[in-house]
Amino acid sequence: MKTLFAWLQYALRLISCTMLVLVAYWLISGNDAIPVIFFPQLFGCIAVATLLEFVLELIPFKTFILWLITAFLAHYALSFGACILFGWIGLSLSGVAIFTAIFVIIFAVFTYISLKRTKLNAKQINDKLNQK
Amino acid sequence: MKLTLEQTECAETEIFIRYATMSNSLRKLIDELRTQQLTIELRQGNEIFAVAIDDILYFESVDKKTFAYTSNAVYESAKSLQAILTLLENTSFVRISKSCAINVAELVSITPLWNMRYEANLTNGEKIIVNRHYIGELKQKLGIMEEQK
Repeated sequence: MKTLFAWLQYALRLISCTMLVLVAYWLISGNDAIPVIFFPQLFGCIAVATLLEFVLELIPFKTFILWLITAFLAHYALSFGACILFGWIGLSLSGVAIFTAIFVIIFAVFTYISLKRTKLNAKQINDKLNQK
Repeated sequence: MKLTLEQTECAETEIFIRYATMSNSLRKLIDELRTQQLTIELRQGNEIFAVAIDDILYFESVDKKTFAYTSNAVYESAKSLQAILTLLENTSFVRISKSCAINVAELVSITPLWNMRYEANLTNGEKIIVNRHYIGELKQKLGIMEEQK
């Protein structure tokens, strides 16, 4: 099971890196066909997550997956709501802004929780070591 | 805990522990006793030494070579880090990253870092990075996990 998880991790990192290259290509070339085909929000999301998880090792892999799924679900729920309330204009206006906001909020929450857990673990260990 | 010391004529010192239940502190004491008894064959240049396990602060694997660090010397081991850890099961050694295992008896404190890693401060003042994936093992070795259950 652990091996399967490790392979999944490598596969996702490979996809993330490929997407990062495609984003860079899209930014340089200005080719509109690429984001239309590959879905621009997915690009941005995975590019940032790759930078945080893979390059900086800032967030754990499981948190990254959870964060990605939550951001997408929340984004579509809100976009669908905007579509019902304001029609197709609402959907297109809300798209990127809502997604970015959700992305930032979820990142902040997960980072805060993880940092709290790190400090708690360190405290527990130091308390135990002080008992010696 | 009742402590009884007895001097006899026997050639070898014997430690006999009588217990009702195996507590964390008792398990730790046994681990430390086991650590004190063991020696490991390590190389320094062309010389081979039998180094007492409790003298070793940590083991580190670098470029497929395993090194053992004491407070004043560095030795090389012919065994892999995994093989050493298998050999040192039930001692005070615990893996803290893919390439490093420390002697918890030599651990002074740990400091949380910003990227969810930790820094282990050893008795000789050295600082070693603890990977977040191995923090559970370290807590288990210190008996923190059992207390939380």
